[in-house]
Amino acid sequence: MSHMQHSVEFDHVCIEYESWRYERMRRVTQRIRALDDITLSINPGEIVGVKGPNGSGKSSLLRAVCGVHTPVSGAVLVFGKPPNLFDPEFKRRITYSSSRRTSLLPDLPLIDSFILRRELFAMPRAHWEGRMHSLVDRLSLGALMNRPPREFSQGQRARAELAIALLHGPSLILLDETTEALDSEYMPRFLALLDELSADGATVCMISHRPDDLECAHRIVTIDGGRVVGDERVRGEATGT
Amino acid sequence: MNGFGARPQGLDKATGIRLLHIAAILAKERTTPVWDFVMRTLGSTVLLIAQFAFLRGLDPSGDALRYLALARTAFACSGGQLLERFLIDGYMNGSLMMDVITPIYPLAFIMARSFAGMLASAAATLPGVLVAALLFGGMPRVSLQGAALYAASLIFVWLASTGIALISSAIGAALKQGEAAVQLRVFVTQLASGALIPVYLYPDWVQRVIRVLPFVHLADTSVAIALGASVSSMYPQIIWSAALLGIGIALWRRRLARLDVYGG
Repeated sequence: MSHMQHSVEFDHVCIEYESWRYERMRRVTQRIRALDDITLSINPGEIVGVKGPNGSGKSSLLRAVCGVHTPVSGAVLVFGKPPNLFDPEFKRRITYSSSRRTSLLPDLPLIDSFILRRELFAMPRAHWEGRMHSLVDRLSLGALMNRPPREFSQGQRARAELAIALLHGPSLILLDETTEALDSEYMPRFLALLDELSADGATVCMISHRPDDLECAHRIVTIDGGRVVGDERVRGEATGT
Repeated sequence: MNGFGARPQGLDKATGIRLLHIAAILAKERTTPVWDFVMRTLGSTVLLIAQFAFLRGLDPSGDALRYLALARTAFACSGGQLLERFLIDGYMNGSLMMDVITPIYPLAFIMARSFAGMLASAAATLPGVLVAALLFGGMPRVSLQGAALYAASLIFVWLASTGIALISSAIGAALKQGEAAVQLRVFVTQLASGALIPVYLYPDWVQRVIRVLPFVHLADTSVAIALGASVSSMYPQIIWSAALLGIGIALWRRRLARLDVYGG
């Protein structure tokens, strides 16, 4: 397997969770296989849509790319390296956004979430300002910057989450159902933005249950029972390779 | 095992400044919305007034009140309580992964959260201590040297309480009994630190037990230092805070390295 040509490589990857409970003072452990022998590669600049039923392993796939889950067998490589080592430089190259886990500070004005992100990713101020203004403009967040996210609608919150996720200019964008709250006005604008990022070389991996959200994808990967049951090219090769 | 429990390779000045800035933002979040914070502070003030009034009746000399003013101030600088709930909830519902996938060392980020918690806790409690002490004549009389040593000892209060919070939250997360771990920690630290009842008011045998436990260093030791105890009385506090923090960090390094996040 060549390690440098792909952004993401899964080589016969199995991921298991350990679930346990106490029964009569005894610990009862159960192992749940979330990903089962996944082999998959994603090229730089490619937009890959991931779909599948609930509990099929889609989110586990993305979290394995982040390095949160470590395979019990097989290997995951991201930019040619195992993602499960603590490496700040690697972490600056990826982003993960989820509909269930927020990166926003719910009670502070939205601008503070952008400031926190700047500090976490050690962004130079000028670069941060440029990126923030561009994303705020593209995702129409200007009127929300001085309001706390707890007052946002679901769609507004999703736009804010996406802006925060893209703020540091990641090369690998992992979106776990974050786009599902976007309406018909904002979704095409966001897909156009993803297309631009892809053309600039960013790799995108997005999970969604809505077929329209995956319109910009070059490939659609279908996961079921922790296995890849479909991998279909739906658009031409990524131009950002 | 992932590598998120990695040991920091040493923090440079720029990262240290970034962590302080992060702590300031998180502390601001802890004190927002403003009216929630104001009402929390008022609630805390009412409880402190009741506590001071009770002790005034018990000890008309005012010594217990002066002790309590210093003890509550020290205890307010233990930022662990807010951290503990964050870690348990974050571990149980998986939101902790949003912290560990950032380029900051997770344990350094956790320390920044603890520092933010300490700032917020101090901001919510200290006005009440001041009001209650002024109302009941419990303003402590402390020498300049005592005040300086007391201020230094508050740093170890914060470190020790962070260590205790890391340990209790790691146990709570491991046993999936988060609330039980929090309540047990609250019960023990309040009773055995001197923050609720001055330690010297307990029967002798209880005092002997309490003084070998680490919780006494969350308040009582700092009070003794402020009131003129020698510098050497701070040594056990320093040793305990280092030990508790070391154990807590070791436990969370293990937890983070085995972070399982369920569900989408």
